[in-house]
Amino acid sequence: MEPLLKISDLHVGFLNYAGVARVLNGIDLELFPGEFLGLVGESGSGKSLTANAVLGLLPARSAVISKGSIMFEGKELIGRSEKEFQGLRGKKISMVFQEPMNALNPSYKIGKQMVEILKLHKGLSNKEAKAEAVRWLTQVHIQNPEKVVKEYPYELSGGMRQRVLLAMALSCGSQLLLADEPTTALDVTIQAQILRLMKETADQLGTSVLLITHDLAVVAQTCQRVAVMYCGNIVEIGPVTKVLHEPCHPYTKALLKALPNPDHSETELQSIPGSVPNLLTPPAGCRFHPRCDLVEKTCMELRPQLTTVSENHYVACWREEDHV
Amino acid sequence: MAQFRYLRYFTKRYPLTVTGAVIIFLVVMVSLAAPLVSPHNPYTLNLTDRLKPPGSIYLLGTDELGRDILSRIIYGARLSLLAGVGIVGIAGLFGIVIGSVSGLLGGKVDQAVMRLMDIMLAFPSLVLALALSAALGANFRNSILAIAIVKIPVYVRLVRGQALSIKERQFVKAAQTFGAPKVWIISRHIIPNCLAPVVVQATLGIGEAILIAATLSFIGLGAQPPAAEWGAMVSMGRIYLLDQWWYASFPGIAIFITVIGFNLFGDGVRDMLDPRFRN
Repeated sequence: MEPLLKISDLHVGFLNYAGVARVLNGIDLELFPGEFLGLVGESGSGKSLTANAVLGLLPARSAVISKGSIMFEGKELIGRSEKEFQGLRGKKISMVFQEPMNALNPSYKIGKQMVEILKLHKGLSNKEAKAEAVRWLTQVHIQNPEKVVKEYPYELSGGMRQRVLLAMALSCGSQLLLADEPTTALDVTIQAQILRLMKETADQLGTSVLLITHDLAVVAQTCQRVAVMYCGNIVEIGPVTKVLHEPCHPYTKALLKALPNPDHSETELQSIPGSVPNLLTPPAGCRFHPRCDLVEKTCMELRPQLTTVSENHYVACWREEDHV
Repeated sequence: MAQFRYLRYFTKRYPLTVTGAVIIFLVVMVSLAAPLVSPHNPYTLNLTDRLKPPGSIYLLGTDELGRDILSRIIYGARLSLLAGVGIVGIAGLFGIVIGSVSGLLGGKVDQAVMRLMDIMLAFPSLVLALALSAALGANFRNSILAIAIVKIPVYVRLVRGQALSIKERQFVKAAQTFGAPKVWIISRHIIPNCLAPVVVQATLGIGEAILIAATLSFIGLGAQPPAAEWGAMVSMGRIYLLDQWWYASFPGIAIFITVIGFNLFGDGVRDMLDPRFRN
């Protein structure tokens, strides 16, 4: 099957007074039609940046894509004009955000915000767009959509706002949804509802979803495959069951160990020693080596590439064969 | 009834704001109803009644051509309000557009615009207004234009600052991911969300604008005779100040009261829109 989105060897750097921070260091990622792919990693590992690069929304003055390609529907995205990107955003590729509280314009009614996008991308008349907006609100299970379109964002709860944003993101027929920690700011019950809704709606429309999160439980619930990022690299990628149950990369293992376990609530939570390296002077070789227990000479010198461990399961680690 | 109770509560809570609002209301009403409320024609010369002191026929006296000062003050309110609102309106409009574009685009455009504004702000505003209005030609319309141009940087700075903070807000980013063009982002996201401080600045600015317009007229670069303009009246009355005190005093008092009205109201609006003062 042809991937919908294919990122290969993507390098992104940020220029600042001290030099170039290499925030994405050769990302390879494929997303197939209708698939849910989880992208996990700690803060600053480059998850959101990857999503922004796909949408062409990297800060123009400081970010530099030095290498790599992003193919969407078989066409290269890097180097497209702002105008071309505007035609893609919201129409073919959409995004939902971490904080639904702030993602709607406080000065306009919900209906108006939805109608504008529909008019922009689908060229609907005002009346058609209004009907479409109501239909989409029903689709995301909002009670009383006729009333909600006349309300301002402050009148809605966080969960409702996230539903509205999801409706907005999907209303113009996007094939790819970039969900940047869509449930982090919501409480647990609402989280589950929103995830279920996302899954249901995306499955129904055949939309592919790139779910960015640092919550492994969310990944386990919703995704078919998961990619683990560390410091601008993908260190492990594979089917969720494989990666979560038989992790191969020391970082993935450490992450899983750091999860609270309800069966052993007395034991202290494990943490990964050390901290995320400074990206201006990243460690040579494997970027995880200063924090890794299994470190050996090769790790400090050469960057490991993703290699197959089992079907569809890849890991970038020199010591991978030693602990499978 | 509920509205009335709210009004009473409001008056008690913000007496100065309400005073300001009442003054503005009165000035607006008087200037709208000028032909009905003024006792005499403001432009009719009556040479037998020159420089009459305040009395029963001429409540606030007459000027050196026998024109009724009260009537001229009433008609003068029209010019002063027009000047105040016009100046703030023009300056605000340009300020909002230039400021939001400059803030959103950033970079070289922003640098160029802001340095130009810095240069304009480096001049004392009255001197710059004087020079501009002398260059444009001394009349009332040009004096308003000149003052408006001088006041533009105030709004540009204000709006640009707002735009800088708003463009980092999530809903602007969200709008970008939905494919909104830059023009949309400025007109529907940045401008509507930065209006509150502009409104405060504008209400406070009206008083000052009236004052500067009157000053230009006083110097002779604003409204030209025989226009009934407060600043021009004070200017003419200045010659007679020692013997006919009423000629310059009453228009002066009119300026004072109107400006105070707008300032009190502006302060009140600022406090109401500032969450730190709200409780």
